[in-house]
Amino acid sequence: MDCIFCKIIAGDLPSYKVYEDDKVCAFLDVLPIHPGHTIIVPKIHVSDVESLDDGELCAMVTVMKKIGKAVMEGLGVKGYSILLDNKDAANQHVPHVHFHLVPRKEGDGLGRWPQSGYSEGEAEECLKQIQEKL
Amino acid sequence: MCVFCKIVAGEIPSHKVYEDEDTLAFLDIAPVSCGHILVIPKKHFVNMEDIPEDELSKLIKTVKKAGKAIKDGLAVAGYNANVNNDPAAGQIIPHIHFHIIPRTEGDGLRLWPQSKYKEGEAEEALRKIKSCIR
Repeated sequence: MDCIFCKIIAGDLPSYKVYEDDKVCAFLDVLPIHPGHTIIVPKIHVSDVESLDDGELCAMVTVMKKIGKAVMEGLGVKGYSILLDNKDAANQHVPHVHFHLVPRKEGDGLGRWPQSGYSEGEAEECLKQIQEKL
Repeated sequence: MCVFCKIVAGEIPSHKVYEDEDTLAFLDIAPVSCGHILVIPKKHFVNMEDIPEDELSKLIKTVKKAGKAIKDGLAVAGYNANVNNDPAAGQIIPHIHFHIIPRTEGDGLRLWPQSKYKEGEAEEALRKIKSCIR
């Protein structure tokens, strides 16, 4: 078992476990963006969301909803961001699918990525390429 | 009526990528990268606390479907999916929505900086969150 998250789930590595049930485990990220930053994982080892069956995925979002509410009430924050990094190009560092839940505050300085516009016809082309694969 | 509800109703034009009975995915007109999609429930729910679990499950299944279509259709190496929950987290439109942002190696988009817990801080955050889990 090489996966660090599988080791945490199995109890082979210590962690600050926030919650677990038969399908999902949630624990504090030891390198938090803000205190309370929680990682939510399926107990089954899959590398990405495409490999996760819908039942496991839905179990994860149900847990995210529960933890999000607890984070806001427990830490007295007024919001949070949920993040999924899918593959290396998107900065997924651990190849075990996971969501981040990051507590947020007004003016916390966490910026948004810069946004731009489409050049003429570019949106339509993008749309066509995506829809072909649905 | 919120701007996303107007898009659902067809009162505001959009580049619809996918829709079913309960969810809609469309191109963000101010994309971070080409193919940046927003995924919403067709019913108006403000945030994670407001959306019922069954509707959230339908939403995340569309995120999974749209994410795969982005990777395959645009031949990108990955994507980030995120929800900003509440204005404190930067949620601008008060209708829950997932962003799916296509990513390529070396695109220069950086994740939020991470730090470390001071002594006892992790235990304190854990205690506070767990005390509020229902």
